[in-house]
Amino acid sequence: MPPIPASDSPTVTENVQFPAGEHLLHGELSYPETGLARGVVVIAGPHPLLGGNMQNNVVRCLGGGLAQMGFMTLRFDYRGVGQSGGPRIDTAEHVAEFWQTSHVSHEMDFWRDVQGAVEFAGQTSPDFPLALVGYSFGCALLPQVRPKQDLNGIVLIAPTVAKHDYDTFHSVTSPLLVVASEDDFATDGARLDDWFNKLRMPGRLVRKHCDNHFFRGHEDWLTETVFQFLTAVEGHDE
Amino acid sequence: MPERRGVFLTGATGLLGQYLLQDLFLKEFQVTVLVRDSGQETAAERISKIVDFWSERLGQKLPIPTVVTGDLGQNSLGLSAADSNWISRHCHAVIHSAADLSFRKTSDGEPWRTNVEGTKSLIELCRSAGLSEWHQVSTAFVCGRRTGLIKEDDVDDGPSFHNPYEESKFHAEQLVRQAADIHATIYRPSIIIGDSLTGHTSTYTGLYRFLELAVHLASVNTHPADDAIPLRIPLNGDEPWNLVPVDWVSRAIVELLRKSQWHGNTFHLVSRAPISTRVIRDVGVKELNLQSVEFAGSEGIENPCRREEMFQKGIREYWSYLSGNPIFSSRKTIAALPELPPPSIDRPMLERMMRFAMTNNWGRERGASHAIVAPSQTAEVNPDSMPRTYCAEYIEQIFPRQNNRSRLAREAGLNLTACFDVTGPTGGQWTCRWRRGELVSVTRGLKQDAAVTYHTDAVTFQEVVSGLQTPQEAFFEQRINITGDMEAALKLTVLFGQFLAEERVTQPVLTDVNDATHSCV
Repeated sequence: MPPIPASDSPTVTENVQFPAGEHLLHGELSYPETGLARGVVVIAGPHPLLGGNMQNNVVRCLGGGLAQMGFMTLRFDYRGVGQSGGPRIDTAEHVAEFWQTSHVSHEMDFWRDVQGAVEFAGQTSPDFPLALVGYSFGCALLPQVRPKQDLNGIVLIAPTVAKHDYDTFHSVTSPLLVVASEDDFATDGARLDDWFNKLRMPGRLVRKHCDNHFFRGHEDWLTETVFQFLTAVEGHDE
Repeated sequence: MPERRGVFLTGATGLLGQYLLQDLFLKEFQVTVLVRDSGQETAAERISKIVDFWSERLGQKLPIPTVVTGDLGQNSLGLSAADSNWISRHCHAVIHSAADLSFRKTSDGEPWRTNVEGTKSLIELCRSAGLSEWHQVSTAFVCGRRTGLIKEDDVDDGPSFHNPYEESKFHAEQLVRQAADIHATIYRPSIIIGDSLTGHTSTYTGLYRFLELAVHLASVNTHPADDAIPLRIPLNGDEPWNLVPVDWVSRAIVELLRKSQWHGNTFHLVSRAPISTRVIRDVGVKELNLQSVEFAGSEGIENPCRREEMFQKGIREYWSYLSGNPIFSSRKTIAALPELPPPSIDRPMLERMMRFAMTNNWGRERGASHAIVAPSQTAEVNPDSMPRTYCAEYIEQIFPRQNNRSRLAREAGLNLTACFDVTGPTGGQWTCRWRRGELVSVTRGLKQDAAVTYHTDAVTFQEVVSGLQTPQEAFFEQRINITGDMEAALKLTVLFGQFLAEERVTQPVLTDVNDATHSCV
């Protein structure tokens, strides 16, 4: 395993575009300035109507922080968000629908955007081991994704087990880290335990009071926790 | 999906570069730009401003190009290994549009340093990156002092030049023509002026310098006795000005970039009908109050007054362009771009150029009037003049009126009681009740039965309702806190953000992101 770079290692962040289905998505690719990375991490952000863009505090801090720690990271805006292509998500109709149902029609199709990001990351760095990180709604999208390269691990941050279907995780076999806030409005504690205990993959569940669902003020701790997991699964593979 | 076509663009912050960036995006090229950090802004921030400007002007969001931070004046352009790798992987062509416009040698070696040494460095980078398709933005005035018909194919191996700028651009052309592994297409625009439709420019050299001097010297009394004396200029009025609008030059280059069968040629991007000084002066009389400007003939001025001396001194660098008379052939350009003939510079177009320049004080107020202004202001509120009771006025008077106009709450069927707890001298506490999508009451104070309560300070409140920050952004920055039903509060935040976005009246804005050194010919 290469030595862990200092946390202030210089990084490069590039604006990138990549296809996802029929749309061209906008992302930010961060990596050590040396161009050498110990793995690539694709980050799926929260629901676009709940602060779900790549500038979200959790997404941004993981993207930048893990890059400083030696990983290549890719964060992106879902279709219809920011400068990504596709019909706008923030229309009055969607907002009204979201208010009434907490969902938007076809929202689970966003997994295709994660798939596009994973394929782009694979083309950019085919030899790097891959890890997927989901935050909130982004967690629910990950089981649909089919990477072509080896998947080292999956990280779920504040998974929305009370709001979306997480049963599909039962068939996933990659190592898994779940980070949940004790006071998370979007996750019922007992239900999370029940779901976690049924998983097949080697997993770890970390719980902490982290500002409800939002990790505001806990971003550094979260990044460090994810980093420790990613390096641990590297060692596990070797 | 558009074909993946990567272009590496230099000079993107210059006037022509800004237009190239726009046109490349509109033709769905993937663009990587080489940009320097400036004293005040990072390279990414500079590019972001340009993209924002175009997005606003076009009414569609343009993608942000990949920005590599570097400088033509540094070894290896100052690029990191990662940046070089990126260019190698993603770019198949380079448009070299960056140039230094100094007509005189400067103490730091310009214009040679950027125009020649910078081109050398770029050639080296492209060689190592395996990038062979080269598009060189040169100038028609590499012909130097030659007069008469100047053909596009003419390659003079040693003309004499009016100034170091011409000479440096000539040598840059020679470098790319002779570089092994480089297949060069050369674009030679004449004098570039602003946008043909809007007059927009960010570079005030050439014609603008001439006009600005005339405006200032014709209007400023340097001596009481000059009051009634016209400003005589040492021209006869018939001098031809070969002007081309920046938007046409940019479109022509991007169209030719797409026509690979024409690559390897040299194109004069010039006007077929140069305009005379007399016409320019006539338009200037109308737009710039230049009625006191008189033509004294090219032989010179007898007993010039101080203002006239200053004018001659001020245009000395450009003088040679008015005294020579090269006639630029553009046969190849016309053959390659039959659908895009050079526009005629007519009086209305000149009027637009002059109005824009005057409005923007000849580029001297960049920091203030040219900055991208706040994204929006509410229809009925001017944040600059918010009274101390702004929060109360907004929540109790403006918000209910806006809410009644909006269909959003009705479509959502909003059924909720929400409180606002705003701290600070202009703050207060309010409770708003919606029933079946109607805002039925706004009262002072906090109610116990409220589903959600928002806690913030007056400054944040003002910034949110005036569109300077979305409520979601303010929440994630911990400037807004929420108690009560978190999910309902978050969704209401989304609704409120959408509501504010609908209520905004976007002000038309102009930006001017000029790169004084790396701007374009």
